[in-house]
Amino acid sequence: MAKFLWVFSGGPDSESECGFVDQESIRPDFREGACWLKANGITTNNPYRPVAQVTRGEMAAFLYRTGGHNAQWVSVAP
Amino acid sequence: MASGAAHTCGLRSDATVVCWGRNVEGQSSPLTPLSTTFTQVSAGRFNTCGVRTGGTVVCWGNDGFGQLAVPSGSFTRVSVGGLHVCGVRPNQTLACWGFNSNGQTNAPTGRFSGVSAGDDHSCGVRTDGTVVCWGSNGAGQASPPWGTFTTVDSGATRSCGVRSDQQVVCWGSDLAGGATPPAGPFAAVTAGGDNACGLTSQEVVVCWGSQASLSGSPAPGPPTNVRARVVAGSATVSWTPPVDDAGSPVTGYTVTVWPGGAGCTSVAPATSCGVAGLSQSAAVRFTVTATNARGSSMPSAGTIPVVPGVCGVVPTAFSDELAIPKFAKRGASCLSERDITTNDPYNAYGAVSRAQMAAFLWRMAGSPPSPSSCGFADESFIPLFARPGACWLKAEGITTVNPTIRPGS
Repeated sequence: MAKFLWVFSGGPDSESECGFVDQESIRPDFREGACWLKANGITTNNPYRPVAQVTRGEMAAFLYRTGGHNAQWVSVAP
Repeated sequence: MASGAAHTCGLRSDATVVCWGRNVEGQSSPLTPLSTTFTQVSAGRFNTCGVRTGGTVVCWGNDGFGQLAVPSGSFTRVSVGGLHVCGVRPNQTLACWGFNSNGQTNAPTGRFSGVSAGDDHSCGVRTDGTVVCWGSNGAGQASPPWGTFTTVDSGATRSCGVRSDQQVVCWGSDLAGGATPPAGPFAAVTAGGDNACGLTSQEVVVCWGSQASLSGSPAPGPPTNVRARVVAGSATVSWTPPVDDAGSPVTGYTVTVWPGGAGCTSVAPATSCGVAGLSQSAAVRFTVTATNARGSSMPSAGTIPVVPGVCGVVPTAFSDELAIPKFAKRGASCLSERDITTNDPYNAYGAVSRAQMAAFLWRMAGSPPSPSSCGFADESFIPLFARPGACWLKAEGITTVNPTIRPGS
Protein backbone atom coordinates (compact mmCIF):
# COMPACT_ATOMS: atom_id res chain seq x y z
CA MET A 1 0.00 0.00 0.00
CA ALA A 2 2.72 2.47 1.01
CA LYS A 3 4.79 1.65 -2.04
CA PHE A 4 1.74 1.91 -4.33
CA LEU A 5 0.90 5.37 -3.05
CA TRP A 6 4.49 6.57 -3.11
CA VAL A 7 5.10 5.37 -6.69
CA PHE A 8 1.62 6.61 -7.70
CA SER A 9 2.72 10.06 -6.53
CA GLY A 10 5.77 9.92 -8.75
CA GLY A 11 8.22 8.26 -6.35
CA PRO A 12 9.58 11.52 -4.90
CA ASP A 13 12.85 11.53 -2.94
CA SER A 14 12.38 9.88 0.41
CA GLU A 15 14.40 8.61 3.39
CA SER A 16 14.55 4.90 4.06
CA GLU A 17 14.92 5.42 7.82
CA CYS A 18 12.56 7.76 9.62
CA GLY A 19 12.08 6.55 13.16
CA PHE A 20 9.38 3.88 12.94
CA VAL A 21 9.84 1.80 16.08
CA ASP A 22 9.25 -1.33 13.97
CA GLN A 23 11.58 -0.17 11.18
CA GLU A 24 13.36 -3.52 11.01
CA SER A 25 10.15 -5.38 10.21
CA ILE A 26 9.43 -3.24 7.14
CA ARG A 27 10.64 -4.87 3.91
CA PRO A 28 13.67 -2.90 2.67
CA ASP A 29 12.09 -2.09 -0.69
CA PHE A 30 8.96 -0.72 1.07
CA ARG A 31 10.82 1.55 3.50
CA GLU A 32 11.07 4.65 1.30
CA GLY A 33 7.35 4.49 0.65
CA ALA A 34 6.55 4.13 4.33
CA CYS A 35 8.80 7.08 5.22
CA TRP A 36 7.23 9.18 2.46
CA LEU A 37 3.77 8.50 3.94
CA LYS A 38 5.06 9.59 7.35
CA ALA A 39 6.88 12.68 6.11
CA ASN A 40 3.78 13.87 4.27
CA GLY A 41 1.38 13.22 7.10
CA ILE A 42 -0.43 10.50 5.17
CA THR A 43 0.02 8.06 8.03
CA THR A 44 0.79 9.09 11.59
CA ASN A 45 0.89 5.58 13.00
CA ASN A 46 4.01 4.54 14.89
CA PRO A 47 4.60 1.61 14.99
CA TYR A 48 3.96 1.32 11.27
CA ARG A 49 2.78 -2.33 11.40
CA PRO A 50 3.81 -3.21 7.85
CA VAL A 51 1.95 -6.51 7.55
CA ALA A 52 -1.34 -5.33 9.07
CA GLN A 53 -4.34 -5.54 6.75
CA VAL A 54 -5.44 -2.13 5.41
CA THR A 55 -9.13 -1.37 5.86
CA ARG A 56 -11.37 0.54 3.46
CA GLY A 57 -11.54 3.35 6.01
CA GLU A 58 -7.76 3.69 6.16
CA MET A 59 -7.55 3.47 2.40
CA ALA A 60 -10.04 6.32 2.04
CA ALA A 61 -7.91 8.47 4.31
CA PHE A 62 -4.67 7.50 2.56
CA LEU A 63 -6.03 8.18 -0.91
CA TYR A 64 -7.57 11.46 0.19
CA ARG A 65 -4.33 12.64 1.75
CA THR A 66 -2.24 11.42 -1.18
CA GLY A 67 -4.04 12.34 -4.36
CA GLY A 68 -7.02 14.06 -2.87
CA HIS A 69 -5.55 16.19 -0.12
CA ASN A 70 -5.85 19.09 -2.51
CA ALA A 71 -8.86 17.62 -4.33
CA GLN A 72 -6.54 16.53 -7.11
CA TRP A 73 -8.27 14.34 -9.65
CA VAL A 74 -7.83 13.62 -13.30
CA SER A 75 -10.59 14.09 -15.86
CA VAL A 76 -10.01 12.62 -19.31
CA ALA A 77 -11.68 12.94 -22.68
CA PRO A 78 -13.61 9.79 -23.57
CA MET B 1 -12.84 12.91 -53.34
CA ALA B 2 -15.29 14.59 -55.71
CA SER B 3 -17.89 17.19 -54.70
CA GLY B 4 -21.04 17.95 -56.65
CA ALA B 5 -23.66 20.61 -55.99
CA ALA B 6 -24.93 19.02 -52.77
CA HIS B 7 -23.32 15.60 -52.59
CA THR B 8 -19.82 14.20 -52.32
CA CYS B 9 -18.25 10.91 -53.33
CA GLY B 10 -14.93 9.42 -52.39
CA LEU B 11 -12.75 6.52 -53.39
CA ARG B 12 -11.81 4.34 -50.44
CA SER B 13 -8.29 2.97 -50.18
CA ASP B 14 -9.71 -0.40 -51.37
CA ALA B 15 -10.93 1.40 -54.56
CA THR B 16 -14.64 1.07 -53.74
CA VAL B 17 -16.74 4.22 -53.89
CA VAL B 18 -18.91 5.82 -51.22
CA CYS B 19 -21.22 8.86 -51.60
CA TRP B 20 -23.04 11.04 -49.09
CA GLY B 21 -25.17 14.16 -49.11
CA ARG B 22 -28.23 14.96 -51.27
CA ASN B 23 -29.73 11.85 -52.84
CA VAL B 24 -33.07 13.04 -54.25
CA GLU B 25 -31.95 12.08 -57.77
CA GLY B 26 -30.07 8.99 -56.60
CA GLN B 27 -26.74 10.75 -57.12
CA SER B 28 -25.42 9.32 -53.84
CA SER B 29 -26.53 5.73 -54.57
CA PRO B 30 -24.11 3.96 -56.90
CA LEU B 31 -25.92 1.41 -59.09
CA THR B 32 -23.00 -0.99 -58.91
CA PRO B 33 -22.41 -3.84 -56.43
CA LEU B 34 -20.69 -2.60 -53.28
CA SER B 35 -17.53 -4.48 -54.18
CA THR B 36 -17.11 -2.71 -57.55
CA THR B 37 -13.73 -1.02 -57.76
CA PHE B 38 -13.02 2.30 -59.45
CA THR B 39 -9.99 4.27 -60.56
CA GLN B 40 -11.73 7.66 -60.52
CA VAL B 41 -15.05 9.21 -59.57
CA SER B 42 -16.62 12.59 -60.50
CA ALA B 43 -19.67 14.24 -58.91
CA GLY B 44 -21.75 16.86 -60.74
CA ARG B 45 -24.95 18.78 -60.12
CA PHE B 46 -27.38 15.81 -60.11
CA ASN B 47 -25.15 12.95 -61.22
CA THR B 48 -22.12 10.88 -60.37
CA CYS B 49 -19.94 8.88 -62.76
CA GLY B 50 -17.02 6.60 -62.08
CA VAL B 51 -14.36 4.88 -64.17
CA ARG B 52 -14.38 1.22 -63.16
CA THR B 53 -11.21 -0.83 -62.93
CA GLY B 54 -10.90 -2.00 -66.54
CA GLY B 55 -11.98 1.32 -68.02
CA THR B 56 -15.74 1.22 -68.43
CA VAL B 57 -17.74 4.16 -67.07
CA VAL B 58 -20.90 3.84 -65.02
CA CYS B 59 -23.13 6.78 -64.03
CA TRP B 60 -25.96 7.15 -61.51
CA GLY B 61 -28.40 9.87 -60.48
CA ASN B 62 -30.59 12.00 -62.78
CA ASP B 63 -31.25 10.58 -66.24
CA GLY B 64 -33.55 13.31 -67.57
CA PHE B 65 -31.21 14.10 -70.46
CA GLY B 66 -29.45 10.83 -71.11
CA GLN B 67 -26.66 11.42 -68.61
CA LEU B 68 -26.70 7.74 -67.66
CA ALA B 69 -26.44 6.59 -71.32
CA VAL B 70 -22.68 6.12 -71.30
CA PRO B 71 -21.19 5.45 -74.75
CA SER B 72 -19.60 2.03 -75.15
CA GLY B 73 -15.86 1.62 -74.91
CA SER B 74 -13.24 2.51 -72.32
CA PHE B 75 -12.30 5.76 -70.62
CA THR B 76 -9.37 6.89 -68.52
CA ARG B 77 -11.04 9.93 -66.94
CA VAL B 78 -14.59 11.19 -66.60
CA SER B 79 -15.98 14.60 -65.62
CA VAL B 80 -19.60 15.30 -64.64
CA GLY B 81 -21.01 18.81 -65.13
CA GLY B 82 -24.49 20.32 -64.79
CA LEU B 83 -26.53 17.89 -66.88
CA HIS B 84 -23.85 16.46 -69.12
CA VAL B 85 -20.73 14.31 -68.86
CA CYS B 86 -17.41 14.23 -70.74
CA GLY B 87 -14.70 11.60 -70.71
CA VAL B 88 -11.22 10.96 -72.10
CA ARG B 89 -10.72 7.64 -73.91
CA PRO B 90 -7.49 5.61 -73.78
CA ASN B 91 -6.60 6.95 -77.27
CA GLN B 92 -6.97 10.48 -75.83
CA THR B 93 -10.05 11.39 -77.87
CA LEU B 94 -13.09 12.86 -76.12
CA ALA B 95 -16.71 11.81 -75.81
CA CYS B 96 -19.51 13.84 -74.17
CA TRP B 97 -23.15 12.89 -73.51
CA GLY B 98 -26.26 14.22 -71.77
CA PHE B 99 -27.98 17.62 -72.06
CA ASN B 100 -26.88 19.57 -75.13
CA SER B 101 -28.74 22.89 -74.84
CA ASN B 102 -25.70 24.97 -75.81
CA GLY B 103 -23.46 22.50 -77.62
CA GLN B 104 -21.72 21.47 -74.39
CA THR B 105 -21.55 17.84 -75.57
CA ASN B 106 -20.14 18.71 -79.02
CA ALA B 107 -16.60 17.69 -78.12
CA PRO B 108 -13.97 18.67 -80.69
CA THR B 109 -11.77 16.10 -82.37
CA GLY B 110 -8.08 15.72 -81.57
CA ARG B 111 -6.07 14.35 -78.69
CA PHE B 112 -6.58 15.57 -75.13
CA SER B 113 -4.83 15.00 -71.82
CA GLY B 114 -7.83 16.17 -69.76
CA VAL B 115 -11.43 17.36 -69.91
CA SER B 116 -13.77 19.17 -67.54
CA ALA B 117 -17.56 19.49 -67.82
CA GLY B 118 -19.03 22.72 -66.41
CA ASP B 119 -22.64 23.77 -65.89
CA ASP B 120 -23.41 24.15 -69.60
CA HIS B 121 -19.99 24.37 -71.18
CA SER B 122 -16.91 22.14 -71.28
CA CYS B 123 -13.16 22.65 -71.65
CA GLY B 124 -10.34 20.29 -72.55
CA VAL B 125 -6.53 20.44 -72.49
CA ARG B 126 -5.02 19.23 -75.76
CA THR B 127 -1.88 17.13 -75.68
CA ASP B 128 0.05 20.21 -76.87
CA GLY B 129 -1.11 22.10 -73.77
CA THR B 130 -3.56 24.46 -75.44
CA VAL B 131 -7.09 24.71 -74.06
CA VAL B 132 -10.28 24.57 -76.08
CA CYS B 133 -13.81 25.13 -74.74
CA TRP B 134 -17.27 24.49 -76.21
CA GLY B 135 -20.89 25.10 -75.19
CA SER B 136 -22.42 28.17 -73.54
CA ASN B 137 -20.22 31.26 -73.81
CA GLY B 138 -22.54 33.93 -72.39
CA ALA B 139 -19.95 35.16 -69.89
CA GLY B 140 -16.91 34.24 -71.95
CA GLN B 141 -16.46 30.96 -70.08
CA ALA B 142 -15.78 29.13 -73.35
CA SER B 143 -13.17 31.63 -74.59
CA PRO B 144 -9.87 30.53 -73.05
CA PRO B 145 -6.79 32.74 -73.27
CA TRP B 146 -3.73 31.86 -75.27
CA GLY B 147 -1.10 29.79 -73.52
CA THR B 148 -0.20 26.26 -72.56
CA PHE B 149 -1.86 24.63 -69.59
CA THR B 150 -1.37 21.55 -67.43
CA THR B 151 -4.98 21.32 -66.21
CA VAL B 152 -8.35 23.03 -66.63
CA ASP B 153 -11.57 23.10 -64.62
CA SER B 154 -15.00 24.29 -65.79
CA GLY B 155 -17.36 25.83 -63.23
CA ALA B 156 -20.78 27.44 -63.54
CA THR B 157 -20.07 30.50 -65.71
CA ARG B 158 -16.31 30.45 -65.42
CA SER B 159 -13.32 28.26 -66.19
CA CYS B 160 -9.87 28.27 -64.65
CA GLY B 161 -6.66 26.56 -65.64
CA VAL B 162 -3.12 26.18 -64.37
CA ARG B 163 -0.67 27.46 -67.00
CA SER B 164 2.66 25.79 -67.59
CA ASP B 165 4.28 28.64 -65.60
CA GLN B 166 2.16 27.49 -62.61
CA GLN B 167 0.00 30.64 -62.60
CA VAL B 168 -3.78 30.24 -62.46
CA VAL B 169 -5.79 32.01 -65.16
CA CYS B 170 -9.60 32.23 -65.12
CA TRP B 171 -11.99 33.32 -67.85
CA GLY B 172 -15.73 34.00 -67.86
CA SER B 173 -17.73 35.65 -65.08
CA ASP B 174 -15.68 37.68 -62.60
CA LEU B 175 -18.62 38.13 -60.24
CA ALA B 176 -17.23 38.82 -56.72
CA GLY B 177 -13.71 38.41 -58.04
CA GLY B 178 -14.13 34.72 -58.75
CA ALA B 179 -12.06 35.00 -61.94
CA THR B 180 -9.28 37.02 -60.29
CA PRO B 181 -6.91 34.50 -58.70
CA PRO B 182 -3.88 35.46 -56.62
CA ALA B 183 -0.35 34.87 -57.89
CA GLY B 184 0.91 31.27 -57.88
CA PRO B 185 2.66 28.93 -58.11
CA PHE B 186 -0.30 26.54 -58.23
CA ALA B 187 -0.53 22.80 -58.86
CA ALA B 188 -4.31 22.47 -59.30
CA VAL B 189 -7.45 24.60 -59.52
CA THR B 190 -11.21 24.19 -59.19
CA ALA B 191 -13.50 26.79 -60.77
CA GLY B 192 -16.64 26.15 -58.66
CA GLY B 193 -19.73 28.37 -58.64
CA ASP B 194 -19.34 31.80 -57.01
CA ASN B 195 -15.80 31.16 -55.85
CA ALA B 196 -12.75 29.25 -56.96
CA CYS B 197 -9.90 27.55 -55.15
CA GLY B 198 -6.39 26.56 -56.06
CA LEU B 199 -3.85 24.18 -54.56
CA THR B 200 -0.46 25.87 -54.41
CA SER B 201 2.75 24.02 -55.08
CA GLN B 202 3.32 24.15 -51.29
CA GLU B 203 0.04 22.20 -50.94
CA VAL B 204 -1.86 25.15 -49.44
CA VAL B 205 -5.44 25.69 -50.59
CA VAL B 206 -6.21 29.31 -51.49
CA CYS B 207 -9.70 30.49 -52.45
CA TRP B 208 -10.95 33.66 -54.06
CA GLY B 209 -14.34 35.15 -54.94
CA SER B 210 -17.56 34.96 -52.92
CA GLN B 211 -17.38 33.02 -49.62
CA ALA B 212 -13.70 32.35 -50.24
CA SER B 213 -13.00 32.33 -46.52
CA LEU B 214 -15.67 29.70 -45.87
CA SER B 215 -14.05 27.35 -48.28
CA GLY B 216 -10.52 28.16 -47.23
CA SER B 217 -7.47 26.26 -46.21
CA PRO B 218 -7.38 22.90 -44.44
CA ALA B 219 -6.53 23.22 -40.75
CA PRO B 220 -4.83 20.61 -38.55
CA GLY B 221 -6.76 17.78 -36.91
CA PRO B 222 -7.82 18.15 -33.27
CA PRO B 223 -5.50 17.15 -30.41
CA THR B 224 -6.25 13.80 -28.74
CA ASN B 225 -5.88 12.19 -25.32
CA VAL B 226 -6.90 15.37 -23.46
CA ARG B 227 -6.48 15.14 -19.69
CA ALA B 228 -7.23 17.70 -17.00
CA ARG B 229 -5.64 17.38 -13.58
CA VAL B 230 -7.78 19.58 -11.38
CA VAL B 231 -7.06 20.98 -7.96
CA ALA B 232 -9.18 23.45 -6.03
CA GLY B 233 -9.94 26.29 -8.44
CA SER B 234 -7.43 25.43 -11.14
CA ALA B 235 -6.46 22.76 -13.62
CA THR B 236 -3.49 21.57 -15.62
CA VAL B 237 -4.60 20.38 -19.03
CA SER B 238 -2.41 18.16 -21.21
CA TRP B 239 -2.92 16.49 -24.60
CA THR B 240 -1.30 14.65 -27.50
CA PRO B 241 -0.57 16.63 -30.72
CA PRO B 242 -2.87 15.93 -33.69
CA VAL B 243 -1.86 13.09 -35.96
CA ASP B 244 -2.63 15.23 -39.04
CA ASP B 245 -1.12 18.72 -39.15
CA ALA B 246 -2.39 19.25 -42.73
CA GLY B 247 1.15 19.72 -43.95
CA SER B 248 1.98 22.74 -41.80
CA PRO B 249 3.56 22.45 -38.34
CA VAL B 250 1.29 23.15 -35.38
CA THR B 251 2.37 26.44 -33.80
CA GLY B 252 0.21 26.51 -30.69
CA TYR B 253 -2.76 25.21 -28.74
CA THR B 254 -5.78 26.79 -27.05
CA VAL B 255 -7.57 25.22 -24.10
CA THR B 256 -11.19 26.24 -23.59
CA VAL B 257 -13.21 25.75 -20.40
CA TRP B 258 -16.88 24.84 -20.84
CA PRO B 259 -18.93 26.62 -19.68
CA GLY B 260 -17.14 29.89 -19.29
CA GLY B 261 -15.02 30.04 -22.42
CA ALA B 262 -11.79 31.19 -20.79
CA GLY B 263 -8.79 28.89 -20.78
CA CYS B 264 -5.09 28.94 -21.51
CA THR B 265 -2.76 28.76 -24.49
CA SER B 266 0.54 27.10 -25.17
CA VAL B 267 3.20 27.58 -27.81
CA ALA B 268 4.16 24.34 -29.59
CA PRO B 269 5.82 21.98 -28.86
CA ALA B 270 4.48 22.41 -25.28
CA THR B 271 1.44 20.16 -24.81
CA SER B 272 0.07 21.41 -21.51
CA CYS B 273 -0.99 24.65 -19.86
CA GLY B 274 -2.68 25.74 -16.66
CA VAL B 275 -6.09 27.32 -16.09
CA ALA B 276 -6.69 29.29 -12.88
CA GLY B 277 -9.69 31.02 -11.37
CA LEU B 278 -12.18 28.18 -11.90
CA SER B 279 -15.41 28.04 -9.94
CA GLN B 280 -15.09 25.46 -7.19
CA SER B 281 -18.76 24.61 -7.14
CA ALA B 282 -19.72 23.87 -10.76
CA ALA B 283 -18.62 21.07 -13.05
CA VAL B 284 -16.46 22.03 -16.03
CA ARG B 285 -14.96 20.24 -18.99
CA PHE B 286 -12.03 21.12 -21.21
CA THR B 287 -11.38 21.03 -24.96
CA VAL B 288 -8.20 21.81 -26.90
CA THR B 289 -7.72 23.16 -30.45
CA ALA B 290 -4.49 23.10 -32.46
CA THR B 291 -3.44 26.03 -34.64
CA ASN B 292 -1.04 26.20 -37.56
CA ALA B 293 -0.33 28.76 -40.28
CA ARG B 294 -3.58 27.76 -42.05
CA GLY B 295 -6.00 28.07 -39.15
CA SER B 296 -7.37 26.24 -36.14
CA SER B 297 -8.61 22.68 -35.79
CA MET B 298 -12.01 21.57 -34.59
CA PRO B 299 -12.05 21.29 -30.78
CA SER B 300 -10.90 17.97 -29.32
CA ALA B 301 -13.30 15.68 -27.49
CA GLY B 302 -14.19 17.26 -24.14
CA THR B 303 -13.00 15.83 -20.82
CA ILE B 304 -15.51 14.23 -18.46
CA PRO B 305 -17.14 16.97 -16.32
CA VAL B 306 -15.36 17.51 -13.01
CA VAL B 307 -15.89 19.98 -10.15
CA PRO B 308 -12.56 21.75 -9.57
CA GLY B 309 -13.29 22.16 -5.90
CA VAL B 310 -12.37 20.54 -2.63
CA CYS B 311 -14.18 17.22 -2.43
CA GLY B 312 -16.06 15.80 0.52
CA VAL B 313 -17.34 19.17 1.76
CA VAL B 314 -20.81 17.73 1.94
CA PRO B 315 -20.41 14.29 3.57
CA THR B 316 -21.89 11.42 1.60
CA ALA B 317 -24.84 9.92 3.48
CA PHE B 318 -23.61 6.32 3.63
CA SER B 319 -26.10 3.92 5.20
CA ASP B 320 -23.37 2.90 7.67
CA GLU B 321 -22.29 6.48 8.33
CA LEU B 322 -22.01 5.97 12.08
CA ALA B 323 -19.56 3.10 11.54
CA ILE B 324 -17.06 5.21 9.56
CA PRO B 325 -14.21 6.46 11.77
CA LYS B 326 -13.75 10.23 11.82
CA PHE B 327 -10.35 10.15 10.10
CA ALA B 328 -11.91 8.31 7.12
CA LYS B 329 -15.15 10.28 6.62
CA ARG B 330 -13.83 12.93 4.29
CA GLY B 331 -11.86 10.47 2.20
CA ALA B 332 -14.81 8.11 1.91
CA SER B 333 -17.04 10.98 0.79
CA CYS B 334 -14.49 12.02 -1.83
CA LEU B 335 -14.13 8.49 -3.18
CA SER B 336 -17.89 8.27 -3.47
CA GLU B 337 -18.28 11.74 -4.98
CA ARG B 338 -15.64 11.02 -7.63
CA ASP B 339 -17.01 7.54 -8.42
CA ILE B 340 -13.79 5.86 -7.28
CA THR B 341 -15.85 3.49 -5.19
CA THR B 342 -19.61 3.67 -4.98
CA ASN B 343 -20.20 0.95 -2.37
CA ASP B 344 -23.00 1.64 0.10
CA PRO B 345 -22.64 0.67 2.91
CA TYR B 346 -19.06 1.96 2.81
CA ASN B 347 -17.80 -0.85 5.08
CA ALA B 348 -14.89 1.11 6.54
CA TYR B 349 -13.54 -1.85 8.51
CA GLY B 350 -13.58 -4.18 5.52
CA ALA B 351 -10.20 -5.25 4.18
CA VAL B 352 -8.80 -3.77 0.96
CA SER B 353 -7.37 -6.26 -1.49
CA ARG B 354 -4.60 -5.48 -3.96
CA ALA B 355 -7.14 -5.83 -6.76
CA GLN B 356 -9.39 -3.16 -5.24
CA MET B 357 -6.39 -0.91 -4.63
CA ALA B 358 -5.38 -1.27 -8.27
CA ALA B 359 -8.88 -0.33 -9.43
CA PHE B 360 -9.04 2.69 -7.11
CA LEU B 361 -5.65 4.12 -8.09
CA TRP B 362 -6.48 3.62 -11.78
CA ARG B 363 -9.82 5.40 -11.41
CA MET B 364 -8.13 8.25 -9.50
CA ALA B 365 -5.86 8.68 -12.49
CA GLY B 366 -8.93 9.14 -14.70
CA SER B 367 -9.36 5.53 -15.86
CA PRO B 368 -6.86 5.93 -18.70
CA PRO B 369 -7.09 3.40 -21.57
CA SER B 370 -5.66 0.08 -20.41
CA PRO B 371 -5.98 -3.54 -21.55
CA SER B 372 -7.78 -6.19 -19.51
CA SER B 373 -5.02 -8.68 -20.10
CA CYS B 374 -1.28 -8.09 -19.73
CA GLY B 375 0.35 -11.36 -18.77
CA PHE B 376 -0.20 -11.76 -15.03
CA ALA B 377 0.04 -15.52 -14.38
CA ASP B 378 -2.85 -15.24 -11.94
CA GLU B 379 -4.97 -13.12 -14.27
CA SER B 380 -8.01 -15.39 -13.94
CA PHE B 381 -8.10 -14.61 -10.22
CA ILE B 382 -8.25 -10.84 -10.78
CA PRO B 383 -11.88 -9.63 -10.65
CA LEU B 384 -12.96 -8.20 -14.03
CA PHE B 385 -13.47 -4.67 -12.60
CA ALA B 386 -9.84 -4.59 -11.47
CA ARG B 387 -8.09 -5.94 -14.56
CA PRO B 388 -7.56 -2.67 -16.47
CA GLY B 389 -6.31 -1.11 -13.24
CA ALA B 390 -3.88 -3.96 -12.56
CA CYS B 391 -2.51 -3.68 -16.11
CA TRP B 392 -2.23 0.08 -15.79
CA LEU B 393 -0.25 -0.25 -12.53
CA LYS B 394 2.05 -2.67 -14.31
CA ALA B 395 2.46 -0.45 -17.41
CA GLU B 396 3.15 2.62 -15.27
CA GLY B 397 5.64 0.76 -13.08
CA ILE B 398 3.54 1.39 -9.99
CA THR B 399 3.56 -2.31 -9.27
CA THR B 400 6.45 -4.39 -10.48
CA VAL B 401 5.42 -7.74 -9.07
CA ASN B 402 5.50 -10.29 -11.83
CA PRO B 403 4.25 -12.67 -13.01
CA THR B 404 1.51 -12.53 -10.36
CA ILE B 405 -0.24 -9.54 -8.80
CA ARG B 406 -1.83 -11.65 -6.00
CA PRO B 407 -5.16 -9.86 -6.35
CA GLY B 408 -6.67 -11.33 -3.18
CA SER B 409 -3.80 -10.28 -0.92
